[in-house]
Amino acid sequence: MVKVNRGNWVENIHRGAFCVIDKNNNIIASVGNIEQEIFPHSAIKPIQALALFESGAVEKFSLSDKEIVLACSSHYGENHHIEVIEEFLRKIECSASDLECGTHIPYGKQTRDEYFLDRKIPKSVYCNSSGKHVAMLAIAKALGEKTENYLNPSYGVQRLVKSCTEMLVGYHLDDNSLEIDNCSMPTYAISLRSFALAFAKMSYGENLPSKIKKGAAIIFDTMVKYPDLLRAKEVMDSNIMRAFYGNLVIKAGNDGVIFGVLRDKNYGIAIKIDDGNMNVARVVIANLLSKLMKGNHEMQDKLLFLFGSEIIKNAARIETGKYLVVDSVFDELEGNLQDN
Amino acid sequence: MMANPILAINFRGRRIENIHRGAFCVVNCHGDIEYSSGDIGKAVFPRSSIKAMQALALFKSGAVEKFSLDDSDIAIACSSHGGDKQHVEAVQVILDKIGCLVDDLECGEQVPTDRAARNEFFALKKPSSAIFNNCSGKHAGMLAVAKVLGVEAKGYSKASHAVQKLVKTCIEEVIGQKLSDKKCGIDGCSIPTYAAPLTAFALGFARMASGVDLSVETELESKVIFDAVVNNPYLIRGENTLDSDLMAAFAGRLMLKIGADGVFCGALLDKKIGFALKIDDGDIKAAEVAIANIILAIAEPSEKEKQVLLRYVSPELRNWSKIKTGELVASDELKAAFS
Repeated sequence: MVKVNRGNWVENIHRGAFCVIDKNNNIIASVGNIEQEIFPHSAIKPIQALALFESGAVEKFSLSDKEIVLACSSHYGENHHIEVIEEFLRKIECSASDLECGTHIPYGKQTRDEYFLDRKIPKSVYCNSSGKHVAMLAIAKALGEKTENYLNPSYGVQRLVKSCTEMLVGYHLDDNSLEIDNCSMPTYAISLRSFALAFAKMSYGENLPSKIKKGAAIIFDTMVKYPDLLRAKEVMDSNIMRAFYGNLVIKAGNDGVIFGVLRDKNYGIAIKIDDGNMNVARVVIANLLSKLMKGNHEMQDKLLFLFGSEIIKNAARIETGKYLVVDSVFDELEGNLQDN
Repeated sequence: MMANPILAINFRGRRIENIHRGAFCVVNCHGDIEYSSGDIGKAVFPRSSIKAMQALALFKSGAVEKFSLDDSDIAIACSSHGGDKQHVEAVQVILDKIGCLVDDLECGEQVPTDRAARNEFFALKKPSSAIFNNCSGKHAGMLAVAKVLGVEAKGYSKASHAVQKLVKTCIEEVIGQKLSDKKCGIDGCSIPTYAAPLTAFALGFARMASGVDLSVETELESKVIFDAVVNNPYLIRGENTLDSDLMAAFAGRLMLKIGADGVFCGALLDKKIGFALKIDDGDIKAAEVAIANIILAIAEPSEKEKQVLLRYVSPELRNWSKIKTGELVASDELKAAFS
C-alpha cells in the first residue's frame, strides 16, 4: 500500500486495508480485507462520546463544546488541552487522582519538556486519553454510579459505552472480542467495514434515536470547530480537517488506525495498516481523500501537496527519503470510483 | 511480487493486532544457506547493523595505531549507544585522542535513547548535542580516519569523501560484492548507506567470524573488532537492551548488532556462521522478537544463555497503567524455517 524510500531504493513496505462505506452499508471504495476485525484504539472515541449524551451527562453538567471535543481527543497535553480538562474535572467534582488511564510522556516536543518540569499538574492529565476518561467519570456520575472502577466492563459506564457502539456498528458485541486498551478501557475487535458504517450512520443521523442523533451531530460539529483540541496545534489531523472547512472529521487511533467521515456525502472511512504504523496511515488517508475529491482539482492538489507524501529527515535535518503510495492500489481505486 | 512471510505478531489479548513480515538467512562461512525465510536476495539497507564492517577502516587507514585506539574505542565506534554517561565518556575519549571536538561530528543532534539518560536529559534541560546521537562513536571513529588520511575532516560524512570511499571498500571486501550508487541513500546519521542482499551481509559476518576468504590482515582486524564488541557489550547499545544483554549472556560467542528500520546482523563465533534479518515494515520490536527466536533456534544456548534469551523471545506488552495487554511473538512461519 505504501513504500518508504531511502535515497533511490525502497527501504520499507507497508500493507493494509481501507474502505469507504455509505450510510446504507454500500461499499464506495475498498482495498484489502475490510471484514477483518480490528481494535479501533482512540479512533472510536467519537462513538464512545455518545454515552455522554445518552447518560444525560451533557445536560447535567452543562458540558461545553470544548469539553465534548476533549472527550473525543488524543491530545498532546498542550496548555489549551490541560485547561479544558482541569475545568471539566472541577465541573464534575472529580480530581485527577480519579483517572485510571495511566500516563505516558506527551507526544509533543514542547509538552514533553513541560512534563518533566514540576508544574504541579498531575501526570495522568497528560495522558492523551485523559479527556475521554474525564468523560467516563462524568457518565458514571450522571448514571448515579460510584466513579471507582469505571473501567470495569460490567459497570454501568462501560455497558452504556458498549451499547452506543453496538447501536452504530449494527451488531451485538460479545466477550470473545473484548480486550484491554492502552488507556485500560475495554476495547472490542470489530470489522473495519462496521466502523466505517458507524461513522456514516453518525453523520447521516436519520434512523437513530433522537438523543444519539442529536449527540452525533454535536460531536462532529464540535470536532470540526476545534480541530486543534483533538490532537495538537499544526499537526496533520487538524490541518487536514481545516482544509475541508467542516466537511471532514478524522480521528486517528493507535496501531495504524484512522476513522473518518465526509459529512456532505455521509461516507464513513476506516483504515488499518497491518503493521500498526501511524505515519503510513496518515499518508493513506491523504491519498484516499484526494481520490474521493475527484473532479475537485484544487482540493486534490492541496491535499497531495500538503499531506500526500511525507518527507523524512534525519537527525541532521537532511532529507533522507519519503513515503510513496503504491500507485496501482490507488489507481485501481480511482477506476472503481468512476462507477459510482 | 510474493509477500514475505509473517515473522512476528502483536497479540492484544487473544487476538492478532499487528503483523510484521520479513526475511532472514543464516549462512556458513562459505556462503551456504543453513536456514532462511522470505526473499533473502532482495537488497536491503543494513543501516547501523554493519558498523563492525565500517570499523575496518580504522585499521586500513592506520588510525588504530596512530591514535593507540583500544578495545573500548573500537567498541564504541561499532555501537548504536543509548547516550548514557559511560557511552558519552567513551566517545569523548576518542575525540580527545584525535584532537577533535563534538562540533566536528556530522551525525546530527539526538536525544539519548537510554531511558534514564533521556529522562535526565529532559529533567536537567541539557543542551542537545551530537554526542548523544547513537552513532556518535562511529562518527568519532570516522573523524580519526580522516585525520590519519591527512584529508580535510569537514565533509567526512559525504559519499564522495575519502573516508566514505575507504569505508565502502572495507564493506565490499567482507561481503564479497560491489556496492552500487543505484541502491544508495543517506543514513539517519548522514553517512551514505548502500543496500545489498541479506545473504551478502550474513556472509560478511560469517567471514569476519571465521577469517575464511579474507586477507590475513582483514582476518586479524575482524577478530580484534569482534573481540572488542563482544567483550564490551554494554558499550554497544546499553542498559536493558537486547544486543547488550544477549552478548553479555553469550560471553564471547555471539556478535549481534541492530540496525534501524528492523535490521539485525550478527554471527555465532564458535560456529562460524553469520545471520541477517530485515522486517519489511521497519518495526524494531518485531525485529528484536524475530532475532531472539532465530538465535534461540541456531545457537544451542546453555541454560544460563537461554534464561536471558527468554526475556526477549515473547515480550509482554503493557499499557500506560502497566497492565498486560498482550504480547509480541514469533510466528509459526519463522519457527518452521528451523524444522
